[in-house]
Amino acid sequence: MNRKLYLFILSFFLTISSSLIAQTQLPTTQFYLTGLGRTIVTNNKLNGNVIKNDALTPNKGVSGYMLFDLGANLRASENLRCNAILRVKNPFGTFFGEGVTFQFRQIQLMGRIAKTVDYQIGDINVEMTPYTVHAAPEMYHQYESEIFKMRRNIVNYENFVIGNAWRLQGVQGFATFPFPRNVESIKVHAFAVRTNATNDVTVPDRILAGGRVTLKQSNAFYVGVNYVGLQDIPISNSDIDYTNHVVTGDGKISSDKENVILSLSMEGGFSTYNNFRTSDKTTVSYNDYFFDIGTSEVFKPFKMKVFANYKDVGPQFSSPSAQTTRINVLATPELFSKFQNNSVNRPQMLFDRFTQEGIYNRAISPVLLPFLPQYGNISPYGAATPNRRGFSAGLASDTSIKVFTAEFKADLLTEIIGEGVTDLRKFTGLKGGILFNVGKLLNLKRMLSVNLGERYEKTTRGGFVPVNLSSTLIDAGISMEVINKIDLLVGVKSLSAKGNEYMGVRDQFNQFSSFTALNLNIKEKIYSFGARVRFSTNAYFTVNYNRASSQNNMNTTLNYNINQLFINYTVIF
Amino acid sequence: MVKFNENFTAHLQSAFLKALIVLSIFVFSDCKRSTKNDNFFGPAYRVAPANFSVAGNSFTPNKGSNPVAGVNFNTPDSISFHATFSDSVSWTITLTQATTGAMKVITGLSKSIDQTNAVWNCSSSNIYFFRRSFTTGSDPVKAVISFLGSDITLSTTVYIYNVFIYNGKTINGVKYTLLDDFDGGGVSTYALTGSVYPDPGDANVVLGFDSVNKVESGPSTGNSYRMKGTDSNNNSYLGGMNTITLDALSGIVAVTDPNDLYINLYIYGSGKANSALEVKVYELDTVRGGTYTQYNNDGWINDIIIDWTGWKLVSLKYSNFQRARDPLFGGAGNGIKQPDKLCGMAVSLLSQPVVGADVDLNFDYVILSQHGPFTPR
Repeated sequence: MNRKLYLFILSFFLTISSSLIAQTQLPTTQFYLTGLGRTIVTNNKLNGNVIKNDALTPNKGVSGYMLFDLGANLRASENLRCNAILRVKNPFGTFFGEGVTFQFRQIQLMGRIAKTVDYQIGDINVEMTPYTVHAAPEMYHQYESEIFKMRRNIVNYENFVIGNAWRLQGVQGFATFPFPRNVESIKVHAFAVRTNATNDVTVPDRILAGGRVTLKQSNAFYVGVNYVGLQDIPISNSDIDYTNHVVTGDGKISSDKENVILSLSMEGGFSTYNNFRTSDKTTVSYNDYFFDIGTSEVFKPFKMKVFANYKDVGPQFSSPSAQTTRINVLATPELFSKFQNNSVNRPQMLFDRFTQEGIYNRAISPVLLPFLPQYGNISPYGAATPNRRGFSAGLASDTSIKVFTAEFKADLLTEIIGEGVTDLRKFTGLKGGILFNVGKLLNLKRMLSVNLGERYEKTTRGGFVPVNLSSTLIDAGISMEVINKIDLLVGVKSLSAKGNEYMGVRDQFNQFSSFTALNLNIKEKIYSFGARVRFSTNAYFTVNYNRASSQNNMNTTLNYNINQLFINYTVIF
Repeated sequence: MVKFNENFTAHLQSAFLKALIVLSIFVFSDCKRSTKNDNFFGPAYRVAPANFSVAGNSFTPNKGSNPVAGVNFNTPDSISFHATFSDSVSWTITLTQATTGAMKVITGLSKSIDQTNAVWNCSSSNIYFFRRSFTTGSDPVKAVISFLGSDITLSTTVYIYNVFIYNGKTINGVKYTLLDDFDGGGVSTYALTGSVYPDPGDANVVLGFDSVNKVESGPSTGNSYRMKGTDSNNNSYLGGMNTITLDALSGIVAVTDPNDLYINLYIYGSGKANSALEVKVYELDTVRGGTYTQYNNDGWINDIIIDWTGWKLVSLKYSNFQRARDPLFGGAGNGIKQPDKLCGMAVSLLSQPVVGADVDLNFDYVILSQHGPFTPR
């Protein structure tokens, strides 16, 4: 049967049956629709040395798509709710709808059992602690301009980037057991998902399962125990048999005085890794541990928080669901995917990291993925980045301040053990920013805000294989409501990186197999300006112009610019 | 929401806190660091200093201490690369053969390279096999040495007079029998393509040698076998092949435990969904050395859904094969897996799990292994 017809019939019956249920169930039964519609059109142009005397590389083009996500939500009772999001997507340039695709973007069942356990089945968002299940941001972008945030929101929506949670398929449950005295509650969270499906021949099913038990005495004290395991369900022809377990404990104690709130927090634990390769009957096993102890003081009169922490994350601490990167740096961007006579894949640039939907990871990787050090060399795998030890400290404004939000953080870390050499890398990081709400300060009726952010990193190593790499990322932007509900948006991003590094190549067992030299002297800049019309809080139209440049001072033949006109209309209901 | 009485709550709290303490002790007592006594982590490496040089700019393939132009890897023999450097440095030798796509990478850290640290035995670092340079001047292997932190590279050429042949050899206790490489090698010439039969009810069915896309090449040709088509009649089956007779392989397997026999083959996934390959083996249960008849002997099946793109080595353990369901076609033997009675084999293209699809795949180098899966050197 024609696939489109099949999907249409399926959707039709789903809608009809849902409507019937809505009409025939108990009075509590509800059926309602939610959705998102989006149209994107881009006009792109590539120029620069990479296509000099090049007649083969396409250097301009119009692209985009129109999509509609229709969410059918059924609330049969407190015990059962379900939703399914049907996506219709039509890329521009296809002939009379030939390229239209129909797919289910999300299917979820959820509800409450025995008035105590909240369960979710299907597409679920899983998050625990930073060392167990946690998707770290792709890089520091806390204080980027609104014009970039809008682009990032689209990429995040397409890739299910919701906070620090991983979007996975499986089941999870939450339960809270309250107590009448001494202890406020015990919370239990457990989940199990399949991260990899077997092909019944060589690839086994891989299951990620875990849980967290938290004892909350009050707002002043809690302790938690966490477990997460990633392991294969062996089949007899398996190429490999992999298991990884992580056990951690965490807690926090606070003291709320008249002018200050003092808090101490910690998380510590260990991982055990075991991987058996059938072909040569090789088993690789290792264990490691980590701890992270922190303190923070909120000074109420100043509405300011000061924080500091010390951590030690072992070189072989393995926690795939906390260490998998958001971005697959080996993926080729869809926008101008090739250059140099259409023969070389264009490597990712800063602009791609928040505009290209296809370069994001959606799977948990048991092996630490490659990363690009210019975008973050201190903690490329988030807080759980292995082989790091040292102090971090900083200060941040309190959320009660409406006029501005600001933070500053310094990292002083080293490796615990050298990689391929006995000498240790030293890492120095400074980052921070401010979002200044000028409109609120001046009591303007219209929105006017200015943002500024910076992240500086320096990596050094002495000895026979010296390393010296520094990078600076700067964000700046203005958002100004010039006419009622019409905003003028301006944003700038600049990244420069200079020096050398040695990047480790990891094998199937997550061990270094070799190191490759990397020499960088690059500058990347993005200038964007545009306008946004806000029809409501859930509907807006924006048009903006972006100029992204990549300058390689070591090989100027690789220099190029991308100019992009971007038009977007989004409605959420 | 569940509520508990106070006595129960007090007991539960006490028990929970005790359990928490025990668990905490357990968690932190089990904290071990595997690299605790190591000086560094990963392979050692060292960059070349600014005045780094290679003595005489000499980088040669040698047999022993004598430079040679080529090597016969099946004698058995190997080759080593020789050079002397001004400093101890991390080096990489990359061997490539343009006609096959095969590549071998040898790395090390030393002040010189020789037969102790830079030996090549015809093995490959990627999935492609090196092939024989069957006439001087053709299919050379290019060897390039480079150094970490230096722009210096030196190159040389090696000719392969004969590749390492797995067929008939026992390596690390695993015995190999090549069934067919589609280049004339194996237990007999073109053993698997003795009988080829497309489903006449399907469209665009192509069953034939593919000289472009392959993982292994013989001495004079390089083919894999391509099977593609559209399952127009929705019967799942698009065509297949079998040994010239279904008892042509009698006597080639000695092991009796089905866990000890593997059928290994390289399969190329084209990316077309529902492409599947069925491997069927026949056991002569009735009369040893007699003629195979399907209605009273065993047939065992393993269906592989090709859900990957590119080439992949697949090793099928005999114990995982399923009994043929149709009693007229291998489902009426004694029902006991007896690998030593293996006598024939068939390979078919299927549209699975969804019938009616447009499917496409290649396969190459079908090799039996006893006492373990096929492990290329």
